[in-house]
Amino acid sequence: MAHAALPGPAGHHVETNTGLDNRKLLMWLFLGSDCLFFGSLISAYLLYRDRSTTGPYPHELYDIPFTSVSSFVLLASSLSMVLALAAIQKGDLRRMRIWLLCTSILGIVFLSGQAFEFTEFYREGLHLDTNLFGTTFFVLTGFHGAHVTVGVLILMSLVAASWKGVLTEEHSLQVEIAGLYWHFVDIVWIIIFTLVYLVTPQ
Amino acid sequence: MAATYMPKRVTMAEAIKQARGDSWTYRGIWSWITTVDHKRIGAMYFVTSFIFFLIGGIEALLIRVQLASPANEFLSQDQYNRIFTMHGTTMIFLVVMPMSAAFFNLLVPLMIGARDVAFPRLNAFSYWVFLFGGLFMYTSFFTGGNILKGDLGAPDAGWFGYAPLTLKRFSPDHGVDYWLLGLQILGLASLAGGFNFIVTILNMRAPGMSLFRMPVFVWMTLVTSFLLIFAIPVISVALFELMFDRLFDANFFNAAKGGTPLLWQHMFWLFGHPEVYILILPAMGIVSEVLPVFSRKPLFGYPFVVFSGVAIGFMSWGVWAHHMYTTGLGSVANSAFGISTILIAVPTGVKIFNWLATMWGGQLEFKTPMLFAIGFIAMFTIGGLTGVTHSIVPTDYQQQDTYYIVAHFHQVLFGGAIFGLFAGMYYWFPKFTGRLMDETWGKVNFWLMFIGFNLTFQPMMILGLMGMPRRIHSYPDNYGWGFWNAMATAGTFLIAVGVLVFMINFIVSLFRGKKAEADPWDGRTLEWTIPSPPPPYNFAEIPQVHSLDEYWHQKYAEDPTTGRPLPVPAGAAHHVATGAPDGDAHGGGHGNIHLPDPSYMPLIAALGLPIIGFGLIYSAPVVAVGVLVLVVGIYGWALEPVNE
Amino acid sequence: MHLRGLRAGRTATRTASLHPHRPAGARFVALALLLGATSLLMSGCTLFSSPQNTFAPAGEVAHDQRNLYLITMWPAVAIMILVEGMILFLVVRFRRRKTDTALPPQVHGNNRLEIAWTVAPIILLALFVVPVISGIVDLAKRPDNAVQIDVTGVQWAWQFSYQNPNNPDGPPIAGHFGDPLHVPVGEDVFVRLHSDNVIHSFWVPKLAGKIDVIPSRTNHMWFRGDEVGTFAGQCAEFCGLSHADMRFTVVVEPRADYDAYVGGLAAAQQPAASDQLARQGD
Repeated sequence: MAHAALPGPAGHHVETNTGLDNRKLLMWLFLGSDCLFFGSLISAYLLYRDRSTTGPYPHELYDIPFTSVSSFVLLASSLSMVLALAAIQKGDLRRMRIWLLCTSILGIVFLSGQAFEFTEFYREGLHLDTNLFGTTFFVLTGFHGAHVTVGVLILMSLVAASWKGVLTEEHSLQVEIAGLYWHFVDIVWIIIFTLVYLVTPQ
Repeated sequence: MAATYMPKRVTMAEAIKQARGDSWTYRGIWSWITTVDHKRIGAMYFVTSFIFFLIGGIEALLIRVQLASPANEFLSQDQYNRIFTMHGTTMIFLVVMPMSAAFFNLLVPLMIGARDVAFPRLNAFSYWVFLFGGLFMYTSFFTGGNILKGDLGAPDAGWFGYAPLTLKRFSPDHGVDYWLLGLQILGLASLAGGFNFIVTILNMRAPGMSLFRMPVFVWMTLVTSFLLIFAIPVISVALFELMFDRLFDANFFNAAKGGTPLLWQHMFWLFGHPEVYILILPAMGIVSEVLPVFSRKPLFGYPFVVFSGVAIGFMSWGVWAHHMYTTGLGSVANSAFGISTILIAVPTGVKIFNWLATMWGGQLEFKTPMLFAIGFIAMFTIGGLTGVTHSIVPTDYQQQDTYYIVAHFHQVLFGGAIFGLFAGMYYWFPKFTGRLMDETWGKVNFWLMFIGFNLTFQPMMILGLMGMPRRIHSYPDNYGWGFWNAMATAGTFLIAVGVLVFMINFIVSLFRGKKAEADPWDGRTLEWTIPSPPPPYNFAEIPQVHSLDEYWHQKYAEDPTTGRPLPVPAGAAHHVATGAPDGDAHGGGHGNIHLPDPSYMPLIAALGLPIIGFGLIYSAPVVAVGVLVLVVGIYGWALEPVNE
Repeated sequence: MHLRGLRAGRTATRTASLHPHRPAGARFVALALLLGATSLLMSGCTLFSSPQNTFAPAGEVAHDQRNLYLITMWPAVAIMILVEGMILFLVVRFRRRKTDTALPPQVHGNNRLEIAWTVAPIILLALFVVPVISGIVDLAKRPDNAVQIDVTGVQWAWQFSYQNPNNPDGPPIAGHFGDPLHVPVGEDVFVRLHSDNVIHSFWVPKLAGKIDVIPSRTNHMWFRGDEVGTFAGQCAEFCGLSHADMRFTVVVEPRADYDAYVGGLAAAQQPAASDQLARQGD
């Protein structure tokens, strides 16, 4: 009757013209669209780099070693995500839950690092309204952080669904699609880290 | 609960009877609130966008009454600014875009031989978000004080909302907040729709329907959807940036802290130019369907019409700064965009020539859809040519921000898009209602609108060349503009009468129109193979497609000697020998037709958005409430048992 | 034009004939509109006369812009007549007749035609590229020995500041908000545009096209008044409540009168009204 079930007919393969499942195609389109979203934010940042009329300035605030570590953490989370997908494709739901949990925790660590960095910058006088750097930095990295947060929620939902027996072996597609989103968010971070943190004039 | 119908070989009559027996899914208000049927969603899109068309039209009448004579005081400056802002915003985002979405919804699944779109609940979500976004934006009218005394709270910074005018410092009241939040909400609706139709078109075509056997309207839907999913994020970012500037004193457009207002313009027009092609391509698709049917011959140059649509889609990204020639971008930028803008005329010309060649050698029947389609070609040609004159940068320095531009875009958006949409309304009315609209009153509607349109907007070309700028509430007595403005105003009343005639025709025909069969126009495409109105499941058997204009080729084989078509014997038409199992590829199996279950979760999720909007304007805790509603809706949606 | 397929018994004419049952009489309407428009045009130039008429230029820039417009307008009109004429022809020539029982030949396309009507417009449009680019470059130049004037836009008025004849490199002398712009006849004028509020647009249609006044940047433009007189200008970028009222006039006068005017301002020692002019005085 009304027991919760995940969408997607169990064991029923729906044929599509492209061979791609509808939901996977949807995620790819969404990610393509999201490229334009981040591209616009990054463009605003790049346009306004070096144009702040007052400080604080990036080179005074950035702690590159710290941010490198949290970037590595996010990268590692992509690895655990891949392992989670491999697990469910092999039918090992327990392992999948472990790796998904691992991915979520790494994501939360990354977010904590972001939060720490934000509060540090804030204490050193960089607010949203201080100068162009404050405006563009917080909005760009803030939206990225929001994307990571949504990703963590999705992953934890998958873990919960698996615990309840709702997510089963046949639902590897759901995990794959979540993985696509997670990897995208990671790649965007690599771009942000490079352009915003590493390529900084003195 | 899934609606399940018993297996193959039911006759049409039996199938319809069974569908009607499935009572609760298709009766009553609740059935509309929970519907995920693309035909019902399309109908709701149509009715809602038409009501906004009337509202936008009233705004236009108010503008024209104010401008009919010099130094007029029918509207105050404040009222005028708010009304013209809402007129533009309404017509673009609440009329042409959703009305195009209505046609996508009604036609695309039928034209590709599918039972519904890829994501029916996402489809419903798109509609509810559109409705709530429009209502949210219009609430603003009531927030300016006493509306009965003429205090309007609507946005007043133009539909294009240039910074710094839109910053808090220069627009302190909430009008601009309603504008930017309303557009964010509406953008989500369009984005969702874009995703849905791309997946539907790429993945759910009937067996044998390759991309180059799709009707042109489906192609135009595909291109438009791609434009949407890439353009909306850009304006979404711009709107977020404006929102942060207004709410949190961010500096995106703050010149005092080193920001530049041009950032807004670049982002707005990077969205804005693809947007105008989003507005016109669906109507071009409709015209490409109507012309062949009423010329009794195929669309001339189908691959070229398709390619030119795709080319327009790509090229539309390279011309945005032609809206910014006068902002001082420099010679290199102006030259580059001048050249790219000149070139984008080429694919449009290709379409026009192919349409004319379609009519050449045909047997033209001047039913109302055909009148509007021909009217489209005639009016769009003029609009396109004036567009070419704008692309000539040095003369655009005179034309920019004048009524010459107003004439141009109304020529293409009214004489073009609206005429195309009206052609579609008359053309597909019989399919979805089972009745025909009255032909005589249809012609009266067309001629009133055609004459009224020309009377309104051709004088504006003259006014622009005579130096009348846009967005002015009034003009002096001795400027020589009174005569042409009066003429323009007279034209708008003719248009209004024409629209009134349409509405009466529509409503009366709905109840008393002549009954229409499945194929009243001798059509070419798959929607005419099923009953009028279509059963919930569209096709009893998913068709097997062998060519472009599949239905036409079922009806007419070609005489090998003369090349002229000959009808095939009766009875061969509706039952195509198909080796494919019934209805399995798209949502059913084992010979059963499965339709997606209705759901109220999309509506709940959609409801969260305006609540967030109100919260951002008035009260932070309300934002949390909105987010909660949104999240509950999304989780409910994700977890409810469905059969899609 | 050779008309094929005319039925026997109907007079073959060179032009499409009016059919008595032709629905909706498109030709009647078209003719009526044409006659109406022509009579209007004939009725006197007063219908096209305006202080801001771009077709009555009084300065070189506006003059060149109008000529360039005509160069594009006439081909556009010709194409319009061709296409609309073709539509009228098709609508009369190929309407379905009661005698048409069989379907017409189902022509699908013609590749050569496609190439022709893709390439021909490209060639035609390419012809415009040279005048476009040369026009852009010419309008962006900074003429030598130009009279330099600073324009400031606020909500909702204009202020003009003139080079101080006694101190050409120093801060300009500001006029009052709302005073007309004075320029010497026959001499190039180079304006720099400033705003510290919203975007405006500086436009004197009879003298030149417009240029926007944008906070955070200093746009510039040159023009020349070739006739003595007073010309109307107006803000051409929506700038808020009273945008419609943000008009100004340009007084094009003999050099001597111009010098007298600026001299008068200098004598009254008007300081630059806007701080940014002083900061920027380059």
